[in-house]
Amino acid sequence: MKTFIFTCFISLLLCAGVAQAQQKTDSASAKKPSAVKTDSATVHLKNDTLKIHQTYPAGLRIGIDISRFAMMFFQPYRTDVNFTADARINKDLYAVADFGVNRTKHSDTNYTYKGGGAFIALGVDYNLLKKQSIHENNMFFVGARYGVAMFNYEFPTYTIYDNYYGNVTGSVPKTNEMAHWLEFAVGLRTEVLKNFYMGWSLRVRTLLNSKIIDGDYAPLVIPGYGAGDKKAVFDFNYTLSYLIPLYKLKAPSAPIAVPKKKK
Amino acid sequence: MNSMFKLCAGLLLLATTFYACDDQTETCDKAFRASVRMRFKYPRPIDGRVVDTTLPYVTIKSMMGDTVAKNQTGLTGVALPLNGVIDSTWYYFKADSTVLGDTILFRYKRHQQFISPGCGFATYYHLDTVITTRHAIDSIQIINKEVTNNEDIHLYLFY
Repeated sequence: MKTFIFTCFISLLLCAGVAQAQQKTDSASAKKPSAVKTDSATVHLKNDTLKIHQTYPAGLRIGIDISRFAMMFFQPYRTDVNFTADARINKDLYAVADFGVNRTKHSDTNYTYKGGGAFIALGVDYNLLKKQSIHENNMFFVGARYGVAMFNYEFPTYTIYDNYYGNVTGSVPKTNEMAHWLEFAVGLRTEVLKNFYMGWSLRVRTLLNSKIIDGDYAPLVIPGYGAGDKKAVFDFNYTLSYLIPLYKLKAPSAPIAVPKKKK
Repeated sequence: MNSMFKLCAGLLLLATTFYACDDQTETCDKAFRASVRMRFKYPRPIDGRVVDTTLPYVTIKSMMGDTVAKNQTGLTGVALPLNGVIDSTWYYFKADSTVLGDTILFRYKRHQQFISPGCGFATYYHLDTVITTRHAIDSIQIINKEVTNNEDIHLYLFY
């Protein structure tokens, strides 16, 4: 039931996000003049050809994934703190880094579990919003990432119940592991206040070294990846981020031929 | 088109959220208790072809002294649990009240396996040898040495 309520809440946020991004995009396309801002443009005239060199602000956008805090309510055994950072490379392409830490602690009548570690995922996002001005950083994106996690885990106690021959008890000592995966993302990021962004994304991850899962003792959680006993997982995140405007990028310029005056 | 896109995105997010929020430790979806599963076989006198057979009155006693089955009719096979505490288990096996019973001894290696966050651990077995007396049983054929699931057949008992 709590999963259902949370899902409805997330869907409302999604609809609000999509509507806002669309509004922004529409207004951007309506305000055509912003695409030809002159305050940051330099004009060169050479051999009857007009060249406009235009720049636009870019920077480092740093965010936190707030969905991980909600996740603690549904999966109380895991604590995750995930951050995201992206930087604009050109008009449509952004370099992305997701990183964070995880701690997992579980105890029931079958076993106890302790684990923790950190991860980083690097990749790119490609903005599919074509109508907006290059001065905006709103995104409807698809992206790909390569992720690596270093983590350790142990089962301090476990019990296999057998009321005929007798219970079997044991423990699995601490193991250090590395996992790496490929991740594909689709999502949205919109500017809600100046330089403040909200966004969501859906993720699908596929584990590249499934040796961990195929072994005798699969981990409960792989930091940054998710369920430690699955070769592919789906996930979502909801980020709040702030753009630090650090640099300017040069917009692609197309030469415009100037028509000659008739004599 | 635009509302269609929003609907699709909403449904996708809904499904993903359900999936991602699921507490895996709450439900056990792969309940497992390793047992050796056997089928009774018999060579037909007419053509010698080996076929499944039904034993008339099966009585099985375990190494703990309990009677697992007594004069049970219509059995074409049985599943017997292995002892997860030691590396061998034996059963006394009587196919009919008119014949002498046999003792079947299973020797195996054990290892514990994490099944799933909801189910916890289970013991997997690797059968090394199966030894039997030959009062009624003619021979034994090991089909599968790995006792790791609830479906596989591991032994044929030939009468």
